[in-house]
Amino acid sequence: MEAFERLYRTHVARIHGLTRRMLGEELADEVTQDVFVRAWTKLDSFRGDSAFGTWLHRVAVNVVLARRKELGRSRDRFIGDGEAAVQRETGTTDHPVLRLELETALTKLPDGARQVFVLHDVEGYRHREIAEMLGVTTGTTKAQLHRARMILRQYVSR
Amino acid sequence: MNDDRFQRLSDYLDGGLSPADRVELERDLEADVELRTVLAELRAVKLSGEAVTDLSPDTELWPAIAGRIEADRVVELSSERRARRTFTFTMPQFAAAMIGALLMGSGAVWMARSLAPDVSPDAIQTATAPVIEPDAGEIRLAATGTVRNPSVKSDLAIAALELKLAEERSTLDTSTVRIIEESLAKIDRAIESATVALETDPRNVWLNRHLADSKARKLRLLEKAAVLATVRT
Repeated sequence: MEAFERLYRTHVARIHGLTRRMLGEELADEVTQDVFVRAWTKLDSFRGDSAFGTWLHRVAVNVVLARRKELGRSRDRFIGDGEAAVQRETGTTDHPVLRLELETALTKLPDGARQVFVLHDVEGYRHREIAEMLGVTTGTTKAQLHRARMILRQYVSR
Repeated sequence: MNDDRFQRLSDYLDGGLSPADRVELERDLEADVELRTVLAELRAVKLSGEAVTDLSPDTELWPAIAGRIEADRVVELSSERRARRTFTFTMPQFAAAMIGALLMGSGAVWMARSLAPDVSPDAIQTATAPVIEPDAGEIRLAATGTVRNPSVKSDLAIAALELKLAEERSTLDTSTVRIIEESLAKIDRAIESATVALETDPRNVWLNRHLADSKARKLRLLEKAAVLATVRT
């Protein structure tokens, strides 16, 4: 258990960052706990083919996606939430919103766009991997990523 | 902003365009200031995402995680114990057990009647009626039971992991090593006694299952220990 605690200390920041960005501040602590409990029970399945951090991160993504599913953030909503939100957000360029922190700006993204942006640009997954995780096409993930970036550029670049 | 050139900027940034499309877009970028501006902004967003830093949570989460893991272990242990309480009888053994139970039951009724004449017959019946608790263990007949013989494959896997653990033992802290060794010693004793008993009763279903389960437990423990050792190195 001590060894596992050391693993927790090493990786908790990254896992907590993932859960916070994907699910929001209010669920981040609880789901981070879920991730480490799941990792403990699944430890037997870690064969050392990849780095432990990579394996743990994949466990975390699965836990996060399962939680999102429980919350009803469904595939339909994932596909449908982009365009209107972009138009809504791009309509705010005249507001005196200057440079917000990216983390804050992320919370303004629609669910689907935020999900893909976090997995692609923050966590470094490829479109093919993301599409597989989410059960959508790479065309959808590319479109969502572009939408996310188009919204975020207003906050980051001004 | 909605024209196709803008839509392709993200793909361009991620290197997802075909060579022909890339050349075409680069030509447009040279000619169009607005397109270049948006590309620079998208690049800034992408870099911001990659540069995000992770901070530990404000709340200390480990005690809650450790508590949940401990709780899971208790559940796992109790289910293992329940599984160990599962008895398997051959048909003659089952019949003998039932006759014994009937004799004991009738003896108890006789004793109750002779020692406590004031007690009503209904109360005696209730007190002596056999009660089967679902959690008390299940009775299976040998004809339907499955014997999981210890396989050579599992023995080889155990041997390989024991070797690996011996090599990497120094990477684990002493308390972890102690816990692992104590657990292994217990499992080894169970394996040894089952093996000895099987020499005299090789077809005993319960003993065979007990041996296989013990080996599986040992394999799981060694795998977990090997993972911890690998992760630490």
